[in-house]
Amino acid sequence: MPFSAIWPIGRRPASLGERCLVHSIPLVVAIWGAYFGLVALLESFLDTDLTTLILMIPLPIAVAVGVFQIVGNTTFALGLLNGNDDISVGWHIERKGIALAISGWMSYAVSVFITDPRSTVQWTLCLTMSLGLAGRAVLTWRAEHHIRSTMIEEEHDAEPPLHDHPPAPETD
Amino acid sequence: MSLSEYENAGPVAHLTHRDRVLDRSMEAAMAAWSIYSALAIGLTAAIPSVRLTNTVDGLPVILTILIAMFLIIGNTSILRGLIRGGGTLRQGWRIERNGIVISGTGWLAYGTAVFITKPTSTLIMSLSIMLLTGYAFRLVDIGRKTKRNIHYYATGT
Repeated sequence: MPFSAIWPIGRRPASLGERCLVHSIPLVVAIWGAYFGLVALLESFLDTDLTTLILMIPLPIAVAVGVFQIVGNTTFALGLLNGNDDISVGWHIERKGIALAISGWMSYAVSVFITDPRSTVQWTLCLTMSLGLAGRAVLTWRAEHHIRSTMIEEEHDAEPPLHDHPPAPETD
Repeated sequence: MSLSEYENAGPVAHLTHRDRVLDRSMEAAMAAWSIYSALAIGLTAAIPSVRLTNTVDGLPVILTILIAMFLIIGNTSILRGLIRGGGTLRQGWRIERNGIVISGTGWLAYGTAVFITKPTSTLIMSLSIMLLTGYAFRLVDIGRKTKRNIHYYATGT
């Protein structure tokens, strides 16, 4: 069970700074993904000249990629930094963001692959991001499943055996 | 019992390779992609008939090959450190830390070179800056974990 995903900080809840440190690479990837989405939207509607990568894919797909990336990656980052006592709340938010972000990355990867398959660095980056995000989703699902099954086992073990039950009161 | 109590569970042991990669899936994925992109920029710069990326246009060949070597060596070390086959946590962190320093040097050089030759390639530059920021945070995190790990084995608490 990969407990180091939820690295033991000590006998206290993790602070915001500690969450940033533990999830540093996923966080910067999420921020960059949201920035990528913003650039995609800006390039679609304005002549900003921030990149030429977006110009090669159709406008509706570029807009969809932009929206998915901004919403998905922001949600993912918020899930990573969520400070709720029940960490499954943060994981649920993360997984919603991951689903949106993967949709954005894969749409862009497929579009680039169709329009210019020789731009290998671009579409492999999108595939890599998607794989990394999918790995995180699987990890949080497994961690949650493991914790819940452990809790059920502990609750079950805590129940006293039947013969230790107090005798039923006698009735008339 | 709330789930958060498990967040602060004791030190981790007996993780399988799959757990280790899943645990740091984004780091592993970015390291793997960095190795591929380093190969792509290195091959594109060294062999004129190979055209895997446009970002190396205008960069000196020697510099590009050097950057590619830094990225390949650094990110291979990061992957080795993340998987840390058979080693202890601390050994894995040490290998990863070395890899981060080497890879960070490569990304810094690449980002600077792209900024000088192609200032409009904002995505590559921002990716370099973001990765460098992430690496810096990760180095601090590894330092903290190493300190805590040493303290745990010295005192048992």
